[in-house]
Amino acid sequence: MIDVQITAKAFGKTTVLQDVNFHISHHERIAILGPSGAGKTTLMRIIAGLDTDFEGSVMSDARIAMMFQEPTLMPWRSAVDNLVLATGVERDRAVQILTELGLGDHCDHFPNQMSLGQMRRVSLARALCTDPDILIMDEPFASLDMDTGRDMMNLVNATLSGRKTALLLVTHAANEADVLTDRQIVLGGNPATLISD
Amino acid sequence: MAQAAVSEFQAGELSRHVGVTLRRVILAFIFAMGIGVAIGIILGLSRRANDWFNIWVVIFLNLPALVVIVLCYLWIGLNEVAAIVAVSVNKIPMVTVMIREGTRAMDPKLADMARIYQMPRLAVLRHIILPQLAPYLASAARTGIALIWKIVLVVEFLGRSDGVGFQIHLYFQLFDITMVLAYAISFVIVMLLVEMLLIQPIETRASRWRQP
Repeated sequence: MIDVQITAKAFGKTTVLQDVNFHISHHERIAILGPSGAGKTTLMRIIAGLDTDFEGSVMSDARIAMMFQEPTLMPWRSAVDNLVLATGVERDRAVQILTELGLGDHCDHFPNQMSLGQMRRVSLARALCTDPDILIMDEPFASLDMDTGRDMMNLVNATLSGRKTALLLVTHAANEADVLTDRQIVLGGNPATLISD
Repeated sequence: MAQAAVSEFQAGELSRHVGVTLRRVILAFIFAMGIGVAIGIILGLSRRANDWFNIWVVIFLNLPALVVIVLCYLWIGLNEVAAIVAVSVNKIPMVTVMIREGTRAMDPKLADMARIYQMPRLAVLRHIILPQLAPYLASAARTGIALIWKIVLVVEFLGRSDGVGFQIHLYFQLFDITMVLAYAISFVIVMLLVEMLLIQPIETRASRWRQP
């Protein structure tokens, strides 16, 4: 589904990724692990097609959806409008997915009327309503308190278990990778490369 | 002064000249905002365009209004087009700078989100770019109106045969302070009404999402 062959990625004269090669198949659940600053987010941006300034190639025929570190919602639009306007999905479908994720009563709320956990769920709903082949999540549980983080993780697990969507989870937390994925890719070194797969 | 203003109003002169000036203000405002916003967004998004164009922005920003007005009258002629162009050229660089800074301050993560979900360009402009520029647009509009009506009066003072600026010029030559104040304050009242009835409601509507 996605074939990653990155020879090198540099910012100016600093090479941050070197020889990162792996393949993501349909329905796979993969975690990219590594310490802060290891280049995880850079790798994720390359795979998502947000960064094309690198040596190598990323071949993909997948429909990609993404949950960013921040909820990245349009603050001037309601929860349901954030789904409809960003993805072009029908309003009824957007309401249905928000309801599935426990936000049925918050469809018309603006982001600043919701908690961070609720905004993350809107972000997840936005990703899922496109019926993606792969969902890329960049540190999705960062800055949530322990209980909310665990609830969110269980929600993601339950939601994805009923779908054929593959998962690429970028995290530095091994417990998140253990719960949500069955294959773990570890980045390390300077410049970062794959140290285990 | 109030008596003079009422008398001019009853004679139809005040409303005619205020109307003419207001029309020039509106036309110059639309022209300056349209061009200034377009150039500002381009310069904010493209470093290359900004490198090339920035020197012209600085030149026009610092060019005295009087020089622009006189040159427009000399090159285009003593007509309505020259008056509108002169006023607009004075305002465009300020709008450009404000909108350029607003564009640079936009959240890049929202642009990433739009790319991931392949939002159409028009939708990106309408739902991602313009809402983020709303405070800058409101600020540019407010300072724009304030500056434009002042310059319109100078333009009329120098080269038109109607409008509040022309009337002020006329009564200045007659040393009639009462009539000068009658026209000036009448137009200030009109501009205050524009601010309260048009700009403030638009701004409130555009920023209602900020209310918790």
